[in-house]
Order: sequence, then structure tokens, then C-alpha cells
Amino acid sequence: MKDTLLKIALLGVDRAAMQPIDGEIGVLIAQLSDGGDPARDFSRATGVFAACERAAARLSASHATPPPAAAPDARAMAADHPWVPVLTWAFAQASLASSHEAQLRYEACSRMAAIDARLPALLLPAALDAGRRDVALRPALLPVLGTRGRWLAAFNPDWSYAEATAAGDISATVWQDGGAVDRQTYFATLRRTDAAAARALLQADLGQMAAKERAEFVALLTPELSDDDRPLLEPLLRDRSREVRQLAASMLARLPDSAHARQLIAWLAPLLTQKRGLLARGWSIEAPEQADSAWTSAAIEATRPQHDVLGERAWWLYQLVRQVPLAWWSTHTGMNAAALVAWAAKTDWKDALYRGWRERVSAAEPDWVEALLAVREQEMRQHAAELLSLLPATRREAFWPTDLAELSRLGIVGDVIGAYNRGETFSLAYSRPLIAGLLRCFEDDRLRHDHVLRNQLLDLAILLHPQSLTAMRSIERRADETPAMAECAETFQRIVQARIVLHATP
Amino acid sequence: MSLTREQVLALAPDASSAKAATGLVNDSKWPMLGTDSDAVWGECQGSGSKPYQVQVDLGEMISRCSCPSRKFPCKHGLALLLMYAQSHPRFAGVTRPVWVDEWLASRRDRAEKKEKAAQAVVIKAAIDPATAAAAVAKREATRWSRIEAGTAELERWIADQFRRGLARFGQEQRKEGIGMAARMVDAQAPGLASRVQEALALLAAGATRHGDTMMRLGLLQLIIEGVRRRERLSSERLADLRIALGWSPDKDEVVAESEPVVDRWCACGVAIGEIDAKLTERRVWLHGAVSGRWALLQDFSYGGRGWERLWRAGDSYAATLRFYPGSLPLRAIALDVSADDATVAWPTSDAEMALDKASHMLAVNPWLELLPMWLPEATLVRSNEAWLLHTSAGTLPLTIDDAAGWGLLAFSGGQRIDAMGEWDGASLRILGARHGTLYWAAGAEI
Repeated sequence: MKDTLLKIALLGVDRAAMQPIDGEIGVLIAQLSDGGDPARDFSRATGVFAACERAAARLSASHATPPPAAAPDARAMAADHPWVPVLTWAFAQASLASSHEAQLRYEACSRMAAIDARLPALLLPAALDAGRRDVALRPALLPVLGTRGRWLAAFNPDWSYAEATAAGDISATVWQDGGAVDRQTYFATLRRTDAAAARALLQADLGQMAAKERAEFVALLTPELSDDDRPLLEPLLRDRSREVRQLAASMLARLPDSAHARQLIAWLAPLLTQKRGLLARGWSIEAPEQADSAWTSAAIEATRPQHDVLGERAWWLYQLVRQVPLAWWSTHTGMNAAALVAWAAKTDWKDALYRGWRERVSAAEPDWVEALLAVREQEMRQHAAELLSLLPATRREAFWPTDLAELSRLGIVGDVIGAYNRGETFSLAYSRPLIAGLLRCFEDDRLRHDHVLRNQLLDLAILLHPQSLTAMRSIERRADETPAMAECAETFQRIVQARIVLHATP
Repeated sequence: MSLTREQVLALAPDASSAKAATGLVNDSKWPMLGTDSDAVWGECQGSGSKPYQVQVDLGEMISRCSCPSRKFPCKHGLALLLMYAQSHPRFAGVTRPVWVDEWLASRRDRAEKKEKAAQAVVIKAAIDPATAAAAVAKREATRWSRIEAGTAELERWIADQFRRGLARFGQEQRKEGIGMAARMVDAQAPGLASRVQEALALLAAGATRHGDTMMRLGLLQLIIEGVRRRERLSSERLADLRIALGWSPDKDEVVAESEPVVDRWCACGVAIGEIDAKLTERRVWLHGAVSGRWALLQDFSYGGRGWERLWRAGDSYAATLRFYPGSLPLRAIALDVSADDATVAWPTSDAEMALDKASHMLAVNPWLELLPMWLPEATLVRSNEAWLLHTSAGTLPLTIDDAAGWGLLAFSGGQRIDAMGEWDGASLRILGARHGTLYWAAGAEI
């Protein structure tokens, strides 16, 4: 009946004739006509019909059974738990813009995992959204989503990253259709759980990848690197991309049985010679005299870039040094990292050695990192933040002043903040003296115009050791503060309060 | 009286006020602070030389400030309450200043005056009922004649649309339509104006909504028929018609003439919606524990000024309600309200009964736009990017924005929930849901 009326309504009363309508409504509609304007009769007819239809709600039958409900989760946090307001605040402003918010979310999730709790249901949509935007949050978020969170994620394609781990099996569709970040996460996980499968997967697809992508995925092989990876890596020494060639070369150099590693030592060892001196034996180093045609297949370039500060021979030596594992130097010469660094300073090839070692050093060699950090050369100063981030937190703090004003004067506040990964904090010993300077900063007029400093204060609030927070006195606020200063002080205090709550015994 | 930070921030008219207020929670900005059992007050240093005087009546949570802000409560009022919520030691032991006394006294005076004025009307009517009644009758007759002239034009306009065909509705017709909505305001029938605007919005939504447009215009015609036959309508039906026209009786009249219903009421759902940039409407749906009645408290806030009273969805209140007249009285005025700690049980029913009841209500009053619906044992389902509610009586389409939808899905975990919402004859707008002892309210998701 509705279709009959709608046809007339669309075409116009004069163009489509009104057909008699069956049933009681039809009788009623027929009675309404007063023989006047047919358009007005039609208005009345639709009115009667609309009133009848509204009063006779017809629902489509529930054919489809609803999907199964989420399994109950006894570890879900109760809505009246003291952490809930903190969690709500942390997830309410899920913007990526401010690093302290992202850090607070990470810490909140980690703390929940520590007490084996799961996020309360009402926070799940915001938390899943935060994880969608912030890949670095996911390792902390996934364990606290609980059965309810993973169940929920299955309904929203945007949250598939959370659903995937729920199934325990990141389906191959992520590898086929996923975005760059999802593919990398998938691959890195696979590499940890099944190194061979990851290698096979990469081997199969390597041919279709762009250079940047090849480099990204090859780098992900590093954690479980073994001789089994040689067949994959060796052909990459002749890859079209320089980045991939160098990456493969430096990885193969770490596998002592590889032809590449042996070849490198064969080139480098003769350059490092022992001399008998008057009192003790000493070592001396020489740079290659001329380019070797075999270098090309070992990712060593004979042609020095035009503007490089190194001379030609130094350039050749540096390229050898940056590939050879640092352990070889110690074993070969019997000197430890500090001694080698000191020795290098006295050679003619200091710059080549320092640059090569700096590029080779990894987080697994903290002694080397410290030895290199002690070098007062421009080369190391420029890369201090990078080197520091390779050290465990307690060892890196020894290199920094504890006074914020001093850190600020040196221009390294950003470096200090940048040296910490998600979830890491300053040591208690470093936090305590730092706090006094932080609080003084709020009394300082500098905060008025320095928005970078305002943001850094919030980042530092997240990095303070949790045990240092309870003793903190409240901020003395200036009476003439600007709204931006007020907001900074407020947020600082809220972060501190939130962290005190999260670290109190639950 | 203790307040939490969250409760205070819930009073904020908008997010920017809340943010500005947190910035004022600074000891050095407040040269003076104080509180007693009735009020909390303070002086806040603003940009001028003289500090702003801020005060809050704790009984009704109404605030006043000497600042020029038109927001209500302003940032100073919120900041004062935030400081108060922190139980700041400076509040204690301060005697109430004169300006706070004056304000509290003036609030009491005003309330008394209002009562006296209401009594005066009653007294006047009692002293000279004939003159008073004649004045009212004259005013009403004038308004009816305006409405009649307006609806005659509207009827012709609707007939013209059907004559031309909705498929040919174009820019010129839209202009006429906007003019027609304005004409309805002039004719003192604002209810018709908003219905015309809704029909125009549907027409703009494209061909898929033409069926709905047709029904809307038909229902408008039914109101016009009602106006024409108003002499023959029962008093209840006439009241229904007046509500549809947007001609509600005065509050005083309702309070004076309707029977009081004393009960414990559960605020099952609260809907807040913007009517335009400045005007916000709030609908609070109450269900009486003893009377079993549904009631609608409808009020409006202009320019971000807050509500007279905070109704929290899910909470229970003891109150006396006076219902507006009509064949199905729903809209009411709440008096003598006090928060009730005991949880009032939700109506017991099943989905079939709920739908039958809805059908019955729409059959009794076809002009009813929204009615409360309670659906027990319902399951929220996300299907083809749409939100549906599975019940034993069938599947209902839902009107719910995605943020609220995901929040409710997380809340329910796929379990059966008891849902409360507004039914418009075709889809349900969920306002609240219960699962066990937990309550979920629309608009509360973060």
C-alpha cells in the first residue's frame, strides 16, 4: 500500500491516478474524500496511512542469532577501582601529539599487566582506538585487553591488530593485505616464534619488495640471526640498493663462519700489526694502500664520496671497520674497549676507527658504548644521544648532570628524554636530585615563553622514578601565570598524581 | 557536602569551560575562599583590578559570578567547586561575607515572589472568575484564529507538493518551504514549524527518504484536520493537539490543575540534543516505582546556561510529579525532588509487551513524536556497519552514534541487557542500559 501511495507522491497527484485501497484503511481513506481538491484528499490519505503504520510497528524477525557473547573475565577491573579515573583520564585524550600522554597510557597498561588486571569494559573502545593510532602502545595494551577487549576488537576492522593476537595466529591476510606497520609487527613476531618460517616468508616475497621495504624486513632478521640465514643474506651483497647491501654485509659479518666474515678478517688482519717496542709490545694500524676489486661484492665502495671528511684510504679502512664485529678487536689484540679507544687516538687513523666502531656498536656492548662516549671528539658528541640510548638506563645517567638548569644550558634535555624507551624511567638516584630543579622551573619566568620546555617538563614527569614521586612537594605557582603555564602546572601535577596512584600497592 | 572532581566537571557547559576552570585551580589566584552549609564562595583574581566574586548555592548547585561570562556555570564557578572538591584547608573557618548573604537572600525572595505571583493569579481568578476567564478566553481565541489562518496556508502548501510530485521538489520549493516554516512561527504554532523543517531535511537527504517525507507531510495534514475540528475534540485530545502545535500550557497552570503523583522515580535515560547553535534540549525519562508511570521532563538551555537541576541517568529520585494534560500524559513537572539512594527497579515487561504498548500509545495519540520504550533481555548487534537490537519480539533498528554504539557493545560484551530508549515509530534511540547492577548511559563514553 505504501508503494502505491509513494508512486503518486513522487509523480504528482495529477499524473498518477489513485487506485482504490483494500482493507479497513482503504475504507477509511475513501470516506475522507470530500470531493474537493484531490491533492488535499491525498494528503489526508497519507496522514491516515502514516498514523496506522506508526501504530503497527513491524520488526524484522530475528533470524540471525547474535554472535556469541564474550567469555567472562574475572580479571576485569571493577568500575569503582581507584585506578579507573586515572585510566579514564589517560585514554580520554588519545591524541598522538603529546608524548607524555602516550607514555602515560603505556605505563598505565604496564601497571595493569603487573597486577594481572584487565581494562574495564567502558574504556575498551578508547583504548583500542589509542592502540590503532599508536603502534608502540600495542605491546603494553594487548595483554590488558582481556577476553572482552579481544571479543570487541573482532567487530571493528580498525581494531584488527588486537583481534589477531587473540586468535594466537596472525593470519596470513595481514602479510598479504596489511599496512606496512602491521606487516612488520607480524613479521617480527613470526621471527621470534618461528625463525625459519619468517625467513622462508621473506625469501619468497623479497623479489617483489621495493628497496626500502627490503631493508626494513632484512633488518628484522637481526634478533634471531644464525648461519641458516646465510643463503638469504649472501645474494643480498649484490642487491641493487646500497642500503640493503650494507645491511646484509654487516649482518653476515656477525656470522663468523660466513665467507663474507672470513674475507673481511682476511682484509683487516694484515693491516693491524704488532710491533715490539722497548718496554712492551704495541699495535699499529695501517689503511689499505689501494682498492681491491673484490670489495664490490662485500659492500665496500672504492670511490670515496666527494664531500666526505675522511681521505681516500681512511674511507676504505672505515668501511672495513664498520663491518667487523667489535669483539674481534678485543680478541685479536687482547685489549678491552677502553684500551682500544685510547689506543686509536694515538694512531694515524683515529677518525676512520672511531666512525667505524660507532656505527658497529650495539646495545649488547655497553663497555664499548661507554668507551666511545668518553671520547671528546666532534664525531662522538654529535651522536651522543644515539649512543646513550644503547646503554641500560642506570649506566647512561652517569653521563648527565642532575640539574635541570644545567641540562637545559647544555641543550640536552631533549636528548635525555629521547634516550628512554617506552616504559623506562630514570633511576631513583637520578630522579631525586632532578625533582628540585623541575619544581624550580615552575617558578621561573622562562616557562612563560618556552613552549618546548613546558612540554619537556611533562615528559620528565613521566620519566621520574615512581618511588621519587610521593616525596614531591606541590608546585609553587606564580600569581601572574599565563593560561599555558597554568595548564602545564596542572597537567604536571595530574601526571604525578596519576603515577602515584598507579604505583601504590593496589 | 562532598563533591568529586568528576561531579564538578560534569556541571561544565562545555569542554573549554572545564579546561579553563582547571587552569584556575591555583591557590594564588584566590585571595579569599570560604564555605558553610549553604554555600561556597571565593574571590578570584581576573584580568581586572577588582577580583570576581564567585558563589555557589550548594543546595541546588546554582552558581553566580560577577564576571561578564554568559556561560553557566562560568569557569570561575567551576574552579571554585574544583578547589572545594579538593577539600582545600583555606575554606574552613571563614565567616560568610555580606555579598553572599545578599545573594542567598535574594534567591529566597525570588522563590517566594514567584510563589506569591502564582497565588495572586489563583486569588485573582477566585475574586473575579468571570473577568479572568474572559481575558484567557480572548487570548486563546486570538491565537486559535492565527493558527487557523497559518494551517490553511500550510495545507495548501502540502497539497501543492503532492500535486507537483516530490520527485520534482527543487530549490524554489525549498525556499517556499523555509518560508512556510517561518510562517508557522508567526502563526504561533512552533510545533508545526519544526515538523516542516524536519520534512525539508528529509527531502534534502535524497530519494531514499521520500517515503518518510510523504509520511511526515501526511501526519502534518492530520494536525491540520485536528485544528479544523477542534470544537468537537475531547479536552484530552485538544491537549494532545496543542502539544503538537507547540502550544503548551503554562507551568503554573499545570501545577495548579493536575493531580500530583508522588513516587520514587528512576531516571532511566537522559537525552541531550542541540536544537540550534544556541539552544539545547534535554529530555529526562523517569519511571515510577509504584505508579509504573513513565514521565518526561523536558527543558531547554539557551546559550550554554546550565540546567536547573542535574538528573543523572541511572539514579533514583523521590519527587512529586505534575503531568501536562493529554490523552496519554507523559510530559511532567517535577517538584520536591530529592536524591534517593535506593535503586528503583526498572519496569518488568517483555519485548512483545513493550512493542504492543508502543503501538497502543501511537494509536491513542498519533501526534506523539517520541515515546519511552523499555526492552528487557535484548542483545546489541553490529551488523553491516549498522547497530541493531535483537529481542524476543524481533530486531529493532537503532539510532545511535558509533562512539556510543561501541561503548554499549563493550559494556554488554554480547550479553543480554535491559535497554531503555526513545521510539519514534520506526527506530529506537538507546539512552540507557542495565546489565546486572551496572548502568550504562549514552553520551558518557570517553
